Amino acid sequence: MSKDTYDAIVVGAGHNGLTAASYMAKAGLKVLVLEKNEYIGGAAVSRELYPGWKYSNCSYVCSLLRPEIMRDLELYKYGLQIIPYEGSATMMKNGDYYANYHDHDMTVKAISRHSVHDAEAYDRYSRDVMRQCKIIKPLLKMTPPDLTSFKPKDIFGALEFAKYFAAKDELGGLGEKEIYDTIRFYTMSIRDYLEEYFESDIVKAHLSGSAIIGTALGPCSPGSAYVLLHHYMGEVDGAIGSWGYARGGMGSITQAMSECFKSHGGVIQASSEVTNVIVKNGRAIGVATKSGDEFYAKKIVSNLDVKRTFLKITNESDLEPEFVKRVKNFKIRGSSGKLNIALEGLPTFPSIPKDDPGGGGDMHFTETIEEMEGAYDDWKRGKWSEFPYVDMCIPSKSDPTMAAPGKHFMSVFIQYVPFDLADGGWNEKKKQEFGKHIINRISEYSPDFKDLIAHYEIRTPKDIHDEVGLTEGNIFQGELTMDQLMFNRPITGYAQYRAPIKDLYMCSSSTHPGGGVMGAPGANAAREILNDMNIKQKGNYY
Amino acid sequence: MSKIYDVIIIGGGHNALVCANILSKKNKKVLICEARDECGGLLTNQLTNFIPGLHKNVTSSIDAISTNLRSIKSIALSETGQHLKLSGNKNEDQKTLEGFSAEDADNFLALEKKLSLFSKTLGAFMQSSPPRIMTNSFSDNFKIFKLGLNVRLFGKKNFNEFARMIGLNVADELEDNFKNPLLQGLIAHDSITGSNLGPRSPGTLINLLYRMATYDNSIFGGIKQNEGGVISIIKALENNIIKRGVEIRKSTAVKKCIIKNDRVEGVELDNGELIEAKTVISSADPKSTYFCLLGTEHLDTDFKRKVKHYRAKGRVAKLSLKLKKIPEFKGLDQSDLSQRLVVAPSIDYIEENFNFSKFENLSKDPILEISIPSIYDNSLCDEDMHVMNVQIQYAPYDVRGGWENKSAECINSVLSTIEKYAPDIKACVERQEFISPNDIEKDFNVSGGHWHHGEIQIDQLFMLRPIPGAAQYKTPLHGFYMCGAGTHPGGGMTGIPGKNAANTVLKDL
Amino acid sequence: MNKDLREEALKLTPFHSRTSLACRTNTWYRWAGYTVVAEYSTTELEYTATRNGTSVMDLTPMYKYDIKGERAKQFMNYLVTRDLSKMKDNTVAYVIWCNEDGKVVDDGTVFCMNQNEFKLCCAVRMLTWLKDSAEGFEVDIKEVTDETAALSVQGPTSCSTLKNYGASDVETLKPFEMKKYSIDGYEVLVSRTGFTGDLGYELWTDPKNAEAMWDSLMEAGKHLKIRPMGMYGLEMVRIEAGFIQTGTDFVSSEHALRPVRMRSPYEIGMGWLVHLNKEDYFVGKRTLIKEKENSTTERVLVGLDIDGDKPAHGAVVYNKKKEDIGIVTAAIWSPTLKRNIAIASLKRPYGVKIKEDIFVEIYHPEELEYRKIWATCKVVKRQFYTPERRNAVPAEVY
Repeated sequence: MSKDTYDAIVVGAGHNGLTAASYMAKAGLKVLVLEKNEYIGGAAVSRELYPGWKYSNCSYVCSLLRPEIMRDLELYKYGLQIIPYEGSATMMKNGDYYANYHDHDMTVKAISRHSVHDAEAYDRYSRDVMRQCKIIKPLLKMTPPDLTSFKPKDIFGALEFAKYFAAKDELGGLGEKEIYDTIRFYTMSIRDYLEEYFESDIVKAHLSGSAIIGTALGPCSPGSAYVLLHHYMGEVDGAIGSWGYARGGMGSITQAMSECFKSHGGVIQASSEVTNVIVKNGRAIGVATKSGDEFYAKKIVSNLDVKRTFLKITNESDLEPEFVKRVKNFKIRGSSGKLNIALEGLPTFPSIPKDDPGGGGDMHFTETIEEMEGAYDDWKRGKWSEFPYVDMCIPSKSDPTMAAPGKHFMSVFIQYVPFDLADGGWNEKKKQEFGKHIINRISEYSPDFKDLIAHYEIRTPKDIHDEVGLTEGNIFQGELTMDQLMFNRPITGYAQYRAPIKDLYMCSSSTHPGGGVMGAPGANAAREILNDMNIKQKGNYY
Repeated sequence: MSKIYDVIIIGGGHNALVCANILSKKNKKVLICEARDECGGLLTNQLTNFIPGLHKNVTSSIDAISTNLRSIKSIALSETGQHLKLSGNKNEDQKTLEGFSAEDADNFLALEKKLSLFSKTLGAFMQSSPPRIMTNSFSDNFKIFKLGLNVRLFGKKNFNEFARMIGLNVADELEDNFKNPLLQGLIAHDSITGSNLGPRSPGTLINLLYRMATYDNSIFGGIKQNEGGVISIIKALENNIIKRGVEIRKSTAVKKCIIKNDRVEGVELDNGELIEAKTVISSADPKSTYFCLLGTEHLDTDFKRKVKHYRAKGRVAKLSLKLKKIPEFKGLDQSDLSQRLVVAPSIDYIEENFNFSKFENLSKDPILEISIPSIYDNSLCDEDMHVMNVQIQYAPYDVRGGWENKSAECINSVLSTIEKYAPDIKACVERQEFISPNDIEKDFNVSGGHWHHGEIQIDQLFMLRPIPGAAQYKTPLHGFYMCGAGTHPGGGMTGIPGKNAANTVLKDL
Repeated sequence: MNKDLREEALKLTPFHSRTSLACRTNTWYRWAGYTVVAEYSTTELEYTATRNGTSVMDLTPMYKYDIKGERAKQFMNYLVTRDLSKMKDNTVAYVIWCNEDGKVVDDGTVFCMNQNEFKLCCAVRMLTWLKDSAEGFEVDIKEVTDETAALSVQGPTSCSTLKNYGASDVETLKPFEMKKYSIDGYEVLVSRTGFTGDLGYELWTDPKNAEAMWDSLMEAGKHLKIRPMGMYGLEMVRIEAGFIQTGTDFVSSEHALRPVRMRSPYEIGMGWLVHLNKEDYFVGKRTLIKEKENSTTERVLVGLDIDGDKPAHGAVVYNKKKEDIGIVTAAIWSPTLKRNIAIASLKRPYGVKIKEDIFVEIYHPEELEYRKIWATCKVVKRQFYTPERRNAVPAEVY
């Protein structure tokens, strides 16, 4: 039985765990990271599941990762390079297509092919969404205040939080009107929101995709407009809303983080599943692993989602029943699946002209919001969507390291796949059926696609739940709805990264500001821990 | 041009009548122009099944009216005949629910207690004009401060709950608390009635709170029916204001407002007659008010955009049946039949209906709220006959195929659904009248045919209702006000918009 | 089919075959989704053509809209701040329009074809604004940018050039008047308008006539010192004339991300276009009346006459206490005036009540290093250059 003691132990080597660990190690703490899988990275991994191909088999594109974190952790030094991509496209059954480009003029021109009105409305739409991105950006870095507390620190925190909506900020002060707009944006459905700007189905369908990825909301559900923001607020070098690939797959993000962590003396131990948080006298003092090892530390930080943290590795007896009930009622619904495909060549998509930059990024084939909502209805009924919203991309088009020259890796994200099927759970046969269905759907838009497949991996929410450890396979580690955002995330009253047990912290995407490969929850949690230890911090993030 | 009125109110709905009453008490000379041949607007015996009764703050500010209100139970119908009957009385309901599940009963009481705390705060907020934010006006800031303080005074636990619930969907909360699908279905039904949301849509919990704020701050209490129907309340309101010297001109449609120098100076009637008044109040819905009565040439572009995108498409239809005899409902006795019968047996049933309506389709298994008022009140029908009013939730305004073709189908599925609970219904029907949202639009001049004059969703509530920046019963034009259900706090028979509007007008005068 | 669908980044104007041939520097400029010539050979020579002979500029990318209907005039009068109720057929008016907060959306020119038919020409995409504004007016609004080829023909010999070209009585056109001509079998609309502050005209025709029109004009101006001018030259002449440009001197309120960047007409020297006593309502009127009544105007757009000869591009403006009081939005060394001029947006009362002791801080590039120049400047009228020939009727003929 090992009796090593550390300053901090982080449970789970996902990107938020590694971010928190790196910040702590950089501040001089002795930190141990424990990971249940034999590989690290959580949902940001590059894995060679088929010889010669690297798979970003969970998360697949990068934009939300805060640049301040990349800078503080010097991730470039450890090999991280983000490759922006040029556009995105939705293919249509009639052989036409719709595309958005990096270049504004091209986008406007492309829209005007479908609707001149919408092309003009796009300017106003971009401005309004951009305004929301600017409003939320500073909030990402903040610890949500406890609104019920009368401590000066929390009252100031609340004021600070409110300040960004009211006083002088990056936008030079918001007026009454902008605040009303913000309230509306946070509470509306993406359908209602887009209908205030656009008339063309294809334009609305293309733009609303970002509002449903990963959530258990449909485009008609109020609150889905905010989810759109969650995909827009990222940036690649100041270009807000643009996306890119991590060179070498998403794993290179967590690899770079772990190298940074190690270079500051951190220790990572893989294949060590934490089974229990050891609590003594109301304080978390260590963790026990499956193999029977025990590790002790001053601070225990869980990068597991809030359900796993409190229902699985914490003894219920150490928690208030009311809190346990809240955790049990935390909404974390798997709604997405994935297909990861090794291709012998580049499939052609006849509806997108060859070399059109629109085909360089994500590709879709959902033509109307109704179709998307219908896909959601299937999910609600406990079935995978017959006409799902898919987000396909081929990172190897821009990234030479994913596959051998001429070979390609394709990532297909599928929105709406339930964690549990109404007809009695997932099994291998149903999983294969699901995979085949998606491949057939894609083949309708790419005749040579099937013949190029060398290998593919099907990931249902169940698989993600089991292997990666995201409860129910929810990619955000908890729904992004108003009842679980900001000071409500993960549990109202516990939004300051501290668990109800002393010295136990949370740093996963279950905490503010939520999911996506953003790193902000990890960095925010590290800040709170270091504050509690009275350790001075430097860096661009703070 | 005559010049004898202080205030002209366009439309004679109950909010207009309440508004007129308060104004006339302050010796204002008021004229009401009602386009139809009777007052009451959407409150008619056919359209309105149950009411909460005018809010006590409203009845205390107007002349007393005599009503004959009877409390109504809610019965969630089950095909098995194991119906769930809830009265709003805590002890009774607890016993009833215990019959299904003791845990449900406990949770119900706890939930109702929590929700009623919130709905009381919300109710208080409804009682006055919503504050504007960022205006540096003392009274606005004070209102916000007071609301904030009230919310903080909930205590830590309840405050956290409130913060969580603002954006919550009702299905999650119900599933977390209850096992009985009938109970879930019934509460979910009351959270979505009249709206374009399903029980799984975020924001539906606030709809429930909203409803509770007008229904005695309880989930099933406060539901009432008036002897003689709502019309008799309207008549009483009318009589009161006539006594006060208010003039009501029926069958008098207003064509548009007269505007000079950015100031409303009166109205022009359809027949060309001009009537002058310094103040004009519209009780019509926001779209009709701004686009028809006021005229778009007096509004700014941004404002017109907001009016245009104000969501007000009705989702409720009504089937009014004249019955030869009362059908036999399995598991219900005579006294049950005069209660509120709801066909919404589970959350999934409702959500599935919503799925159809999202795409402007009709469900074959609709959600119904049934009332047979004639059992209790024989003034409503010829002797030996009965009236059954069925409210159909999720009957989309823009139904695919158009209502002229779809109403027969809708009637058929309504009757087939009732048949499951009352097998002899079809044989009992003597005559039927169907009112679609389109009919409501046409017959009652409500653009979109929405019962609440516009969706009740957070982005159309409080200081955002109806139009952000013009939510305080005022409009961009001097002397022109609004007092209908399209203003804060919204629809339903409460009279609060009318009362608040009257107070705003009096302050300005 | 797919090849044809492929999105090229930028559109080509109907004059492209001619402008690309004439453009010897291959220097292009992105303008409203089109590519146009920035510099044909030497900007100074192109500029001089406007002040000495005739310059020809491709104006096609300007956004153009047709507004038709029985209430078209009423709508135009509601849209813009200027009183157009007395606007006559075949005249043009310079206008601005605002949003509900009285902040300028854009400026442009309105062409009255007849009382039920107007054209609007402006710099910012305006279709949704026009359509949303037209709610309730029952007018027909159509974008005709791609369907109209436009050239600006400006300079002292421009009238003679056009006469040679075939517009026989063009010298009788008064400023802001227009007339249709039939030339070589096609129709050309000639308006006496421009963005150069000089005598000049703008020509509007169907794109299919564009190349013929260009060729004939060049032939007509052969002995009148005609020369095509690119965007860089235009920037020089428009600053001399004191014309403002949306996106440069102010941000359209429809585009501004930061509410504080929006400008009222009084803040950009366009107060003269706001007719608050106009009988009908116009968009923003209520707020503008309040602004005027409460004197809440915060900024002012002025002309600066700066010491020295180093242009003050993007310079910050200071008062004597070295307090930042504004910014230069456009600046050049004026070759005609031999003055160092700039347009600047200042915080009031600077530029209005306080015109003394104002400085600009110029960073002048000198062989890879910047020299910091602290230059005094005078607040002057923004219209730096106003030659008499600009408004003379009949126009000067050579």
